[in-house]
Amino acid sequence: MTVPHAHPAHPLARLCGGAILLCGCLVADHTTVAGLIVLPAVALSALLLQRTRLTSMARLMLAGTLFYLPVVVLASPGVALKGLSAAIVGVATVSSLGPQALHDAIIRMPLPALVRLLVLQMVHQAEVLRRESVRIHQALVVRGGVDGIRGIWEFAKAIPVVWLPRVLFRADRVGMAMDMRGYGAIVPAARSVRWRGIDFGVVFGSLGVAVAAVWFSALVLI
Amino acid sequence: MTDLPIVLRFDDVSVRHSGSHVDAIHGCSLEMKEGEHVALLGLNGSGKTSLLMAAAGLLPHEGTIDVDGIRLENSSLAEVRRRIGFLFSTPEDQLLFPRVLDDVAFSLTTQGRKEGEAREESERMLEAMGVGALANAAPYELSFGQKMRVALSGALVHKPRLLLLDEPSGALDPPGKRALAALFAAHPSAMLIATHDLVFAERCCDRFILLEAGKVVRDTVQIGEITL
Repeated sequence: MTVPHAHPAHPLARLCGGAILLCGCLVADHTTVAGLIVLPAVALSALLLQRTRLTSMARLMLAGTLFYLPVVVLASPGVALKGLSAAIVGVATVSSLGPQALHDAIIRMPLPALVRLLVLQMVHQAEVLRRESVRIHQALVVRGGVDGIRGIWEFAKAIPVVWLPRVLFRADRVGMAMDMRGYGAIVPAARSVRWRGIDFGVVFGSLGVAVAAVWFSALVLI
Repeated sequence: MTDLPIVLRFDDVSVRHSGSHVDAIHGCSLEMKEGEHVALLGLNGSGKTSLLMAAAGLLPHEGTIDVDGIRLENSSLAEVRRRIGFLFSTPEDQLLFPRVLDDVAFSLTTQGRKEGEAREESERMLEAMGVGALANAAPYELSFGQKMRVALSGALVHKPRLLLLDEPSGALDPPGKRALAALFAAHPSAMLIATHDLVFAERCCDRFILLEAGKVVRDTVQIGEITL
């Protein structure tokens, strides 16, 4: 999760906007030429909407492209583009919010209480695990004296033997703590918020982009 | 202290972890009275944490456990846990919110307290624990000692009848240990503190129980009788 930056729209509006664009990506037809044009446009809209920094944008696109490269070979460019666009929309939305803003936004989401609580905890634990992963990586670097690409490779090899057992142990303890503290019995209250023009703009703008993307992707262009 | 009500009673309690062939706790019987501060001493693997977890209903047990007069059963778990404050040895595991104040206040809102009231009381508790300035911080950013104090605030804020604390002094610096011991010594709740730190135990407890291989081998008010 990157350090969040100032954004004039409320976190809930940004989260709703991101969710709408994500739906647009998932629903848009990736088997048509129009779909192949539209999907990157939706991802770009999310980056602009969330005011993602240029450097983060470039890193995100590079990492996503590398990750989805095998999909291009094994499946199809359409599937890869759809996955990449959806990933960019999701990461751009989440990374622009920061843990507290994301928490505040999720509490207000129009979802069943249990779903909100689960998502809240997944987001919270994801950040805890990210930091744990960084510590494991640092320990590997220090103890193994490897860094750079080889360090990343060593870390990847350590995932099933070091990271996964730790995650399972932690999940067990966190589950106990949730039981002990009565997590799930109530949904934490959200502080009241007044929607402004920009918040509506973000939500309806995203809705417009998503609807247009779905409609345009259905057109068969040669 | 003989007339005070009993807040924790173990009667021939045994605990075995799933997949294990030996009991982590075997035939344990003990009683703790209201306001009593008891140190649960023992080496690593002696069963201290298992005993605490069994008392909170986090591990299945044989025998009977009563907390504040309530028999610990599946049907009474929620009622029992409302009367308990628990501190895990890894405080990070029990911090469930991205803001310190929200995490501490959660312990009160689950007990039906109003949001504003819960926040005010939580702020006071954080101040008392010496981490008032961290109210708006994210738990991820804190040091181990700070996380410990925040988790403790969450365990203490609802004024539980019984506190179960797993290695609370672990990884604290000497002034931190002294401050924590003084805070515990003055706290009115009954406390069962698992530790292997004899100096810390002597500072804040008035009774000492020694566990060895899951069995209570000594129960005394003289810490000098205990050697680890």
